[in-house]
Amino acid sequence: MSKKKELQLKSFVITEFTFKTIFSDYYIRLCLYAETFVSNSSSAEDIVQDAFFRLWNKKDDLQIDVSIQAYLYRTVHNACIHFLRHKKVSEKHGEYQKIKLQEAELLYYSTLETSSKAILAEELQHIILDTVNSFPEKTKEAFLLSREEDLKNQEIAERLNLSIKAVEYHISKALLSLRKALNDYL
Amino acid sequence: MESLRHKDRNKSFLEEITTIDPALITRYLSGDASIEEMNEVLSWLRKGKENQTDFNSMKKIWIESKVILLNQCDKSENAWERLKYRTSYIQTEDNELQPRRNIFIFYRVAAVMLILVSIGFVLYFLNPFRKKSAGVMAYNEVVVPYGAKSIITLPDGTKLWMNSGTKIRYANNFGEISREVFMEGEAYFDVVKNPKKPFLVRTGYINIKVLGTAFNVKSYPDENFIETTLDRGLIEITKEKGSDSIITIRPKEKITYLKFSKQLSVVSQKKKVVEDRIEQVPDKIPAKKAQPEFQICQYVNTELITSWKEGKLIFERERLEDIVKKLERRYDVVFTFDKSELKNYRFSGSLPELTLQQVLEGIQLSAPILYKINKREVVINENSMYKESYKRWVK
Repeated sequence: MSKKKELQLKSFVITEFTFKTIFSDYYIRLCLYAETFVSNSSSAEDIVQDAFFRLWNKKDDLQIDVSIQAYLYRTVHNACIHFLRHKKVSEKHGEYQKIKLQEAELLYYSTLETSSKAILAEELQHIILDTVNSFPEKTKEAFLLSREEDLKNQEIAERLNLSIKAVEYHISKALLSLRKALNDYL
Repeated sequence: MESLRHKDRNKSFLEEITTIDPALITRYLSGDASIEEMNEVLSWLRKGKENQTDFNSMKKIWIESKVILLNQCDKSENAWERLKYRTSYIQTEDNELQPRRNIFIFYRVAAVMLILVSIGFVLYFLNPFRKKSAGVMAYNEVVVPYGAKSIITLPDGTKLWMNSGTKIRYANNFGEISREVFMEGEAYFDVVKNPKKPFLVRTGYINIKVLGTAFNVKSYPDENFIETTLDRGLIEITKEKGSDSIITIRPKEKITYLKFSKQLSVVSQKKKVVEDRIEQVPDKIPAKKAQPEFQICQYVNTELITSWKEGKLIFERERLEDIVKKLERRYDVVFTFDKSELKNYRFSGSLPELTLQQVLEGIQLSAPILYKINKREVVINENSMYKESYKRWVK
């Protein structure tokens, strides 16, 4: 990563202007991130709202050596763990939530590493778009349906007239190719 | 099938190398995995730090590819408003918050609207119309209270749709030298073309200069933002104070100005998400977003924004809390929530001009709430019977 980018990510003095920029850059991402743990979009949004609210209140004495995005990801991650630990659920969902909690706790340290290493989102997105465009038609379709509309594999299979196994194959293939294309960035 | 192991050159010798079926990761991320499969992923994650890093990367790709396909403008805009509201509330706490509707309290009696013609030097000194033209100026003031709506025609033929809780003021000699209107609240302007006398809308924060066009301005004193949406034509936005920069707005664009930070700025939307989304991402990435005080959204749904004119209520995945704000103005009532989490229910739908009861019935059908109307107060309670089945529909 270039020096310039590093600077951009790390030494922010948060003013009102940069705050809005940070917000529009990270709000959706953080919501989707929180959703991978709490699987409920409105709880996820609340968690992210609170994270920004705290950032705003802390902006004057936030340590400069912490990158803003690492700070945000960490705050959201902690809040998800808290949420999963304390939210009461029915028996049926209990097992699912337990696994999610374990995942969140397990990934506690590796998340910080991944999130602080992030490159600029636009760059990342360009690579993703280029890669997705280079996919064979079926792979592209299956992957886009899964991402765009959050469809379950079963539904995608019905729409594309494929077996579930085939849908999984295409989506996994897409993910792996993207992983490969972004190897230097993630 | 390939396995999840690409980072060969970064591989640590200490870490145990294990592979996992990528389809399993896919199922885990998409929520298709069974409990057993999820546990399998977990134990794979436990086997090494590198597995965790891999997993995080996959998750990141999963999220980023979703971000690309989302039109994030509206969602993060709403969230921003919500956040701004929270932060501004805190900022002004010491300065004693004014009750929300103090401005209109006197006009509550007036059934539809009140025209005040006030002559006076008081206004002359107080308001932003003060210009070179010395001496006493007379103003027309049109006030539409909560619970009402109105359409007026200005002396130059310009038509104005005024939403509930809106006030406009213009000089008696409007149109003689210039065309200036000061406004608070929400109004839709259909301006008569006259290149010699540009039409100027002043909000106290930003000014909107018009040649001949139609647009919507939302600038309520109790909200932290001013939204201007252009229906057709071309408008120019300048700030009342400070910078002289001009921002040009094209049709179907919405510019949001944030009052709380008074610096001039432009944020253009990163992506144009239209029909054929994948191909439509602009070649050029917008340069630096140095000025976040203004935000422009492109391809906004103007029909949705101006639907209030026809008395229609159109919501697109709008939070109940924001919907309620509109209903408070329109029906001149006050809402209270029994549980604050109810504010987060989202509602989409298009309702024609209806009574408050009918609107609430409609919302009650699609969210687990129960309403109670008590004169001017509406209480929203949770409908616990309905809650579980609702949860099954919305993920």
